[in-house]
Amino acid sequence: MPCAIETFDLAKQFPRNQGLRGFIPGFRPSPMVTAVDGVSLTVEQGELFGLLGPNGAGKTTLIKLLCTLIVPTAGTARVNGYDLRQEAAIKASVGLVTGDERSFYWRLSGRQNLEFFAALHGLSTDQAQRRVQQVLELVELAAIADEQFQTYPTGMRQRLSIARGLLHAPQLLFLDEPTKSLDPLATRHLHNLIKNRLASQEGVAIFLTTHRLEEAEQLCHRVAIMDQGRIRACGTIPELRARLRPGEHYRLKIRGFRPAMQAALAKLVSGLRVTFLDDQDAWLEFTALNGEEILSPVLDVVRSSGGEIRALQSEAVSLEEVFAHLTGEPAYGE
Amino acid sequence: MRKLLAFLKRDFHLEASYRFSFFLQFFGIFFSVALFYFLARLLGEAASPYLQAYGGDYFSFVLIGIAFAGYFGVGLSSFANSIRQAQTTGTLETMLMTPTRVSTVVLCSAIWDYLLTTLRVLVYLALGAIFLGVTIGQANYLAALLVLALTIVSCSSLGIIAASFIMILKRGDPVTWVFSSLFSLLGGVYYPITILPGWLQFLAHFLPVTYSLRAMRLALLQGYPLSALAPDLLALVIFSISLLPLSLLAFRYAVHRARVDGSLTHY
Repeated sequence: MPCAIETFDLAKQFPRNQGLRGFIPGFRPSPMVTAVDGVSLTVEQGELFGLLGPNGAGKTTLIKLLCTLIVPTAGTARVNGYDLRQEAAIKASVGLVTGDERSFYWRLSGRQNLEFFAALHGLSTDQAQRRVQQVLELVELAAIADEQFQTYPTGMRQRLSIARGLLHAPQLLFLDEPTKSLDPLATRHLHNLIKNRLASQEGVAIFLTTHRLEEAEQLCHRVAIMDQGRIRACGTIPELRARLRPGEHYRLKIRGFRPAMQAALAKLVSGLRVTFLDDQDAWLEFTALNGEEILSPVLDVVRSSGGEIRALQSEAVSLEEVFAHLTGEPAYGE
Repeated sequence: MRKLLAFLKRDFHLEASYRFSFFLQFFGIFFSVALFYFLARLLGEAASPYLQAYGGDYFSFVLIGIAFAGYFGVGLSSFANSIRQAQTTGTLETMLMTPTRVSTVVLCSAIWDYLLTTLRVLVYLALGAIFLGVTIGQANYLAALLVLALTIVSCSSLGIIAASFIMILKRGDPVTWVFSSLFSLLGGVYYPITILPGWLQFLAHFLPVTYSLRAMRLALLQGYPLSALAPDLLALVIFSISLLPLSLLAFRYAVHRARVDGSLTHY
């Protein structure tokens, strides 16, 4: 079975808006703006893949390239095994859900909207009616399907957008910042729908873009971090963490710390740092790749040297730190 | 066909959701007809020498002009409007994410406007014929339908060229502006082009509407046979077969350019 997505050095440069000047022969063209810069990545069938990046990173442009809405400047890609030039085949096998709620007819009902788009997907009247009912039930909107779209709250509009993306039973669903304008409750509802119904039950491959780190961490099997058009890193969340700082960070608050203890501990862990709070208490800090194995001997050394452990803290590298490191942006609070 | 019906159903539901606006446009027809009826009474016999070819009655002449001008307006603007509206409402991107071609989306979006215009034309003609003495009993309807078909093709071709500009420029297509102005001034909607100075009459012959209106009036008011309308029909055929391929090429180029620029859904 072909991969859901394979891209090979995919690139897109846009000319700056020139209006009518663009038609004048010999007119000096404006410099190009690079939106996607040599992107190579693979997404497997059934995978929930996250593309994480700050605003303007090129995430939406990459999705539009893969949906054949725009033409690449260089490189190539295959979507569900189809080359980007096979527009109709790709469109029949993917769905696109954007965070833009304007993309519906506000004075039509949810059902009328879906039936219209089902017809554009080539479904017959009977097929359309059946499929519309199925997807409405999947996103739990069947009860209000006959009310005008404009009466729906934002969370429901977004779920209807997902229902529309599923009308033709695509193998791959692009979700472009789907929770952008949702409140925490609606976000949680949508996350549940994406993870438990679409990915797990329906088996649809999902390519989700977001600039919300916790969203990517919560939902995605693998994440790529994109910045200034380039993929800076790609992997599972633990892989990305390991790339920035291997292992976990430990902090021990010790009463009765002695210099002899420090020498013994330095043989066990690297990068040991001691901060004295007073003549009794001190914080010990170190990072260990094999934390579970190393922690027991460390505690033994402390105890056998007469020290008393008052607190133990461990923390993994946050995805935010990884993101900040890879995009060159300061992490929150720094 | 299924897609065409889906567009018609969508547009019907949207139109029906603005009921007041729907009925208001038909009230406009009553006022327009009344205005020209009284204007015709004011002109009386004075206009007859210019209108001999059409039977001499100004009201009958202008009624056909204003009724069928609706087709020119729809042909010129509805394609560009449908793209512009879909760009601004954000539905264009979603429609383009289906395997339906852009050209199908644009063409199907204009059909409702044509149906509505046909309804308006029928109201114009019915008002004139039933209440205001316009005689179309001897009309050659077959010839009128042929004229109408060729008019729709040639004006729609100009409209598709206008839509190509909208696809790239987003606002302010020059085609609709230029041709709608020229159609009103030189096309013979409100007066026969024979009253224009010679050089303007010469320019008028480069507009399809000139031939459409002359042939339509002769078919409806004088019942001319197809053979007598042949020169005007031939001109409309020439407009159609030259403009239609040109418009399709222009539109294909505009869509390609917008996909390269990434501006397909910008507005």
